[in-house]
Parts: sequence; C-alpha cells; structure tokens
Amino acid sequence: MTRTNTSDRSWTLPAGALPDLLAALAATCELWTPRPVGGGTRFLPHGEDRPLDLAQTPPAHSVKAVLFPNPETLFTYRRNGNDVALTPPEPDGRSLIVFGARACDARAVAALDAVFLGRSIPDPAYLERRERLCLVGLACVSPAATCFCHRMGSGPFDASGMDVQIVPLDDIYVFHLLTKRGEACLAPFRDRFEAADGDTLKKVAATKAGLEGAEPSVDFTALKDAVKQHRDDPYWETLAAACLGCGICTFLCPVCSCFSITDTGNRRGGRRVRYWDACMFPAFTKEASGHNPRGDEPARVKQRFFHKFYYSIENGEPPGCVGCGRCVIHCPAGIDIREIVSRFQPEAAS
Amino acid sequence: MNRSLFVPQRMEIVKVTDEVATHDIFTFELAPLGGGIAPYLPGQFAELSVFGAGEAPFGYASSPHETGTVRFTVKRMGALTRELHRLGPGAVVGMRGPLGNPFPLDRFEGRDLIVVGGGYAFTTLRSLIATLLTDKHRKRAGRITLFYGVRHPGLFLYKGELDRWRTAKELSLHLTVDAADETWKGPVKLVPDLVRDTAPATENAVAVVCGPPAMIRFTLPVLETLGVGEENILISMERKMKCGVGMCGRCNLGPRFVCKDGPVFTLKELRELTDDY
Amino acid sequence: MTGSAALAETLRKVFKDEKLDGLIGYAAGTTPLRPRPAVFTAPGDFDAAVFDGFCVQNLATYLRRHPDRRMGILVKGCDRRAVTVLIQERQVAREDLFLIGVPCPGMLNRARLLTEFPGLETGGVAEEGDTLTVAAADGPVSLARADYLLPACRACRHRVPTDVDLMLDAPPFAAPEADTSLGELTGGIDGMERRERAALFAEELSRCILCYACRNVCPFCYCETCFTDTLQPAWMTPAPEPNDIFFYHFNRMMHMSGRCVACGSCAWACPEQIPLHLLFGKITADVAELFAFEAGLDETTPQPMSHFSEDDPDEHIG
Repeated sequence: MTRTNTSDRSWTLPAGALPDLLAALAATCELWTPRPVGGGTRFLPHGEDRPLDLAQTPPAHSVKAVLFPNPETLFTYRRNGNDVALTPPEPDGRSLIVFGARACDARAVAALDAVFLGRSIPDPAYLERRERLCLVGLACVSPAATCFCHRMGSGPFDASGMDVQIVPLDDIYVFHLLTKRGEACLAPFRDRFEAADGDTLKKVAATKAGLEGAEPSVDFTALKDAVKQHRDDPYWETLAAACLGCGICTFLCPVCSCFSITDTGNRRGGRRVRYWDACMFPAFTKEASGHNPRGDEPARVKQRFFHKFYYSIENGEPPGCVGCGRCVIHCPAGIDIREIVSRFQPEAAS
Repeated sequence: MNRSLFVPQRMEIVKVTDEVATHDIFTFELAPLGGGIAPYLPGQFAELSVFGAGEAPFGYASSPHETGTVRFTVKRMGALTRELHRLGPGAVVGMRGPLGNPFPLDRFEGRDLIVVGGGYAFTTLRSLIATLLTDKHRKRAGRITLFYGVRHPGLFLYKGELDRWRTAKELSLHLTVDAADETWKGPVKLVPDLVRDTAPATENAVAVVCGPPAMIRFTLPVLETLGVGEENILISMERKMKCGVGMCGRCNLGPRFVCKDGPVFTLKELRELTDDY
Repeated sequence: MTGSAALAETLRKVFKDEKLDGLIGYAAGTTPLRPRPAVFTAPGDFDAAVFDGFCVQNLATYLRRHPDRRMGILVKGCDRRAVTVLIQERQVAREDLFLIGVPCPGMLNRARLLTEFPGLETGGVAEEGDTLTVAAADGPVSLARADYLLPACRACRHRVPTDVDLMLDAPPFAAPEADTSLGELTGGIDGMERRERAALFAEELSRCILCYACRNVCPFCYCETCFTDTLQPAWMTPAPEPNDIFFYHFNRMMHMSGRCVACGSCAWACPEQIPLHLLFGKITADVAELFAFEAGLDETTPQPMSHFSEDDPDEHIG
C-alpha cells in the first residue's frame, strides 16, 4: 500500500495491539476501561480480571461515575480531646484516562463542568479529577434503538469533550488526536502507531456518513420556552401515575449530578462523604420540620424534566440530556424521555 | 476556602445561651481555631458541622460589627441539632460560610423598613436589626418598624436586647403572642393581624419578612393591601440545603437556587419562580 | 385473549360495565420489549392495552395510590397474591376492587434476551405456544420459552390467579409450569460456608447504588417512611457504603418474610442486575419450610410473622 496524505494527528493501531497499549497506559496513568460486571458494562480501573467490552452501547454507567464517584470521601475527621483533625483526601498526580466513552457521555462532561466548576467556587474533588482527565472517546458505530443523541444536538461521531476519538474499523483502530492533552497522553507510545493514510481516513468518513442521523436536533431554546409554559399541565400527573419514584433515571443519567452529604462513623472519627441523591426521592427536599416543597410525585417528575430542558437552558448551561437512552432502557415504569421531548418540541423545530 | 470547599473551619464553642422557656433553642457563640472570621453580612448563612452527625445551614444571628466571634441560634429539631445541643463550651464544631447573599442593605438607605418576623426564624432578623442600629447604618436608614410574634411569651428570643430596642428612637417595636400568660401585657393576636392593625406608613417602605410558612402566607397580602409593592417585599427563604453553593441541586425555586441566588428574594421574584413560598 | 385489540375491547367493556374509576393494566411502551404499567381512566385509553411476556411488574404496587376509588386491576398469579396480602394488611378493600385475572404464561428475561440478541430492542419477540421467535441480527431464531423465563417465574406454582371477578382466556403462548422451586433456586446458599456466602453477597451487592427501585416496585414496601429514610434514629447512612447496602437489603428481606409472593419484580427492576431473587426466594422458601405457609394464597390464613401460635418453631431461640 502506498502511503499518501498520512496524518500526524490521526494514528492507527492494529486491533490486536490494543490490550498491550492499555496495559502500558495503566502502568503510568489512572486508566478506566469499560468491562462487564454482572450483566452490565461499566468503567472500572483497568485490569486483566475482566475482558474489555467496547460493544455495549451505552455502558451501564457513564463517565459521571468516574468524575463524580458514589460515594466519595470529602474528608476524614478524628477527634482528639476537644479538638478535631480534618483531613481531605490526597490528590493523585497521575493522568486520568477514561477509555472508550461514547459521544453522549463525553458531551455530558460539559454539563457536569457547569455544575461543579461553574459556581462561585469550583468543587475541589471534581476539579482535581477534571484537570487530570484525558477522555479517550470511541466513535459509536452501533447506536442502540434507545439512543437519541441526534435529537439532542449531537451524533455518534460527535467528538466534543473528547481529547482523543477512536474510530473502530475492520481490524484497526483509528486514533484522532484532538487536544494537546490527548497528544501528551499518547505521545510516549507513538511508536506503537502508524500515521493514518488517506484510504483509512476515507473509510472513517464513510463510516461516519453511514451514521448521520435522519432526525434533526431539537431547538433547545424553543423547547425551553414550550416546557416553561406547562408548569400546571396535568400531563405531569399522567407521567407520575406510573413513576415509582426510584433513583434509576437520575443515577444512570450521565448529566444528573445532584448529591447529598452525610457523615459515616461516630463522634470519635469517621468520614464525611457525598453520594448521589435524586430529585425523585421525597427525602431529597423534605425539611426537618416535615414540610416538603416537592411533596408529591407529579412535582418531582416535573422537577426532573424542568431541570433538564428549562432550568439548564435558562441558566445558560448545557441541556440536561445527551440522548444516551439509559433512563429509557432501565425505567421500570417505561417512562420515555423522548416522548416528553416530542410532546413539548414545537412543530417548527421538527 | 477554594481548596477545601467542603472542609469546614474548626470553631470552638465559647458560650451557650438557653434562649427560651421550652429550653429547646440555644444560641452558640463560636470562635475560630486558626484563621479569622470570614466577612459576612446579615441574611447570609453558614453550614454548621457536628462531626459524626453531619451538617446543616443556619443564618448568622450575630452582626458583623460584633467581632471576634459569631453566633447562631439553633432550635432542637433533628439529629444534628440534637447533637449540637449536647455540646458545651470548649467543644469543637465546624463552620462553612458565609454562604448565600445578604439583605440588600444599600436598598434600605433612606427608606423606611418594615420588618416582620415570627418564631425561631427571627434569628436572621436580629442580625439585620443589630446591624442597622450601628452608627454606620443608622444615620442612613429611615424608620424601622419591627413586628415580632411567637406562640407564647416564653418563646421570645434575645429578651434583653428586645428590652433595649424598646427604647431605641430609630425603631418602633411591636411584639405579639398567640396565647398570653399572666406576665404578658401586650397584644394577643397573630402577626399578620398585628401588622394590619398597626398599619405602618408604606409610602417609602421596604418590607422584610421571615418566619414560618403560614405567617409568611398571611402577612404578604396584608403588606400589599397596606401599599407595599411586590418588588419592595423581601422574603428570606428556607429550603433543605446540603452544599450551600448551588451544586447539590435540592433548594431550587424554578431555575434559581435559594443557597446561591438567595436566600433573600423579592415577592415579585418568588411569584415568577415558584408556587411554594 | 388473542391479541391486544381483543384485550382492549374486554377491558373497555369491564371499565364501562363495572363503572370503574380506573383500571390498572399494561400499555404498549415505546419499544417492543417494554410494555408499561398504566392507569386507564377513559374508554379511549384502552387502545394501548397489551399483555405479553414482558408484563413483569407487579401491578398491585399501584393500588394504594387510589384510595376511595373503585379500581379494576389486571392480575397475573403473583399480582393476585399481592392483592391478597394487601387486603390482609388492610391496605386495600376487596369490595373496592374489580379483579381481572389473566393466566400467566411465565414472564421473560428481557435483559438476557437483549444481551444475547442485541437487535431485539427494535425487532421484538414473537410469542407463540411454547416458542419465542426473536428478530436476531442475521434472521429469526426460535427459542424455547421455558429457557428464557425469569428465575422467579421458573419456580412459580401459582400462575393462574384465583378468586377473580373476571378471568380472561389464557394467552396463546406459555411455558410449561415450574421446572424448579424457590428452594432449589436458592438451595446453593445453604450449602455455602459462611465466608463463601458473605463473599457472594458482597460481590453481588457491591454494584448496588441504592436507587431503591427494588423497594419502590415492591407491592409491600408501602411504609410512609422507610427505615432507610428515618433520621431519628438513623438506622443506616444513606450513602452506598458496603455496610449500609448490606443493612438495607437484609433488613428489607426480613420485612418481607411471610409477605413476599416471589413475583420477582425487585430483581427485574434492578438496573444493576443484582440477583435479588436469591434473597427473597430464600426468605420465601424458608417461610414455606418452617411455617408451611405461602403468602397471598388466601385471606384467612394469618401471616406467620404477624401471628403467634403455640406450635411456632422455636429452635432458633436455643
């Protein structure tokens, strides 16, 4: 094969060489790879104990579970006489590579950034991980029937939020280096790759073209304006009639980032931890007096969708949904966020 | 507090005051162990920690001019406050603050102020009034009319201070109780009725309301009827909070958060944001 | 019952004739394998009614949401038993209910089918007799229905609901009746060493995220405030720390003894595919063995845990 038009920012790796590359990365970085556990694939610290699974779309959990772990220690406390010593966790100096995240999950990181980095004070634990993060994403060549990233303004090949995007072709992976951080992470392993040639890049383009969505993106501003008009719509009661009020949709959502904080331990010593909490739980907003501003199921169901499609947009933050479909897949009551979007999406935008 | 957003400042309890006849509301005076007290203004709040029991938000009861220590008045309600009430001088607790936004003191300049408080929520209004009565502010403020009601006379907070305020010429004080005892000489009526019957001048007034939901609900129409516009009625909101900085997600009123955008909102804002105030 | 059009007509007729305020059944979902619980409140609603091998969720869970209303409810064997338990526990009144029975064909393991045949989410599954025809990526594949039943359904011996107000015809698809029992399904646990058993549950429960889907889908988890949420005393830390996860599941299991009808909804709802049927199957099998009792079979036999009898077994008291 004659090599023409090779790219210095697109490298190829034989599929069989991937395990060795990952092992080499894991030796120097904090590497998370998607591997199956108990029927679902999730990002786990890389190891040989379980095989790599780049097929399950989407993985059971998103990048959220790495950047915003559940639970997470904020500090330990130890009482010493009357005084108390407070010790936050030690930072990790290594690069943090999350390998194989799809477009939806990579895009969701921007929404997490808005919450954890967009307030008057950044969240230290999140910031610490975010500054080390190198997101090695995977172009999504087999979207699931429950996926709807196109409608949420993205697509299977959307590389936003990624430092490197991998495109799987027949027997090779094409690594597109998108940021300096991505280059820095892979530069030490340059000799394992070859520069991608023109034919390869054409194949990538053809694969991408085959996955272009027929469905147009919603107009989020119009959607916000429409949703906003429906504060008193009886539709929320209809939805709530089946909703079980569990935390599946919020916990598996790559964007939902509400949390609570509690102490685990006793008066002498222990840890203050934060953990995922959900607007679907009555206790989320129930006050010590017993008053609950979102005391019924319709109010809670509405809060979830208002947050995603109204409050986020109103506040200039990324939309609260990236179209990964996890809530569609797992909701026991069959509540499908796509139906809600369709209901409120003004005709003009479709 | 950048690097340690969730790691509180260690504070030593220097004094505990039993405030009311039911002995379930204590004021804790706290002095920092290392570091100073971060500047704060009335209306702001802090998260207090009892290690092993967790963390909860409380409005500052002290005023910024009272330097060296800060005070919080805490009612025994749940697990954390029960643990806090067990602690005495010398014990170390945690504090994260100030959080939230203060009362807009600039807006009060040259205006009459109608302050309406009820029950235990009076604590943050005490901080406000004490601040407005300092030399720095009193010359610039108009007349302050303070309404404060509790269920029975034994439940007034800060009794010594209320006695002093009774004679302050910048302030007219109106106390009321739901049910009197033999010591009580004042009116026996609900706060909204007291406000209506007293009918303070409203042409140039800003009103501040802080109290239990029922008191707020019935006081707002009285103030509006007296002529205070919805943009001139300020309400200090309470919601369950954890982070205090707009991350944990629970205290929102529509697209805004009580913690980072409040806790003080105008009635006009609240009407646009939520049905529940 | 031959199809959803006939089902819709039957349910619509019942709704009108019985002057029901609502009828709880299953409606078509947004993908073929995801029928969903629905409260039909108008004659037009019934066009969406379906019943197939994916109607797992126990509908009795929704009954308490409609106090003082005359409700119809579609019941499989396990839903019917759950209704009986709720009547015994004074949560619903039999006279407020119109029970529409459907002989259960045994419910299918959607998660397993989707894992083995990724195209099914769009293609769906055709159910006929004891055979499933799945739309696999490279053409249709026939499977024995019995091989793809949920664990709880494999052990179920009460598929046909009893004492209903209207019994629908059996659907034209079904697996043969029970090929195992709860005792057999969970028997492996008894044979394990304590450490081995602890390791098994530690491994499986390590995935738990405390989403409480298992609790919220359960017809019997209706406490106004669950022990997970009480603050005084705080029985557990609400963060998903290993001890708290254990505490949650084993306490819930204890609360289910003599009440669980082994419908399998909890294991089915779990997004982490934690085999909760091991816990609930075990407690149910133990109650059956110790007290010769199965929950929800009749209203008159008291639940062993809410009833004292002189000859209750007491070996555990030592």
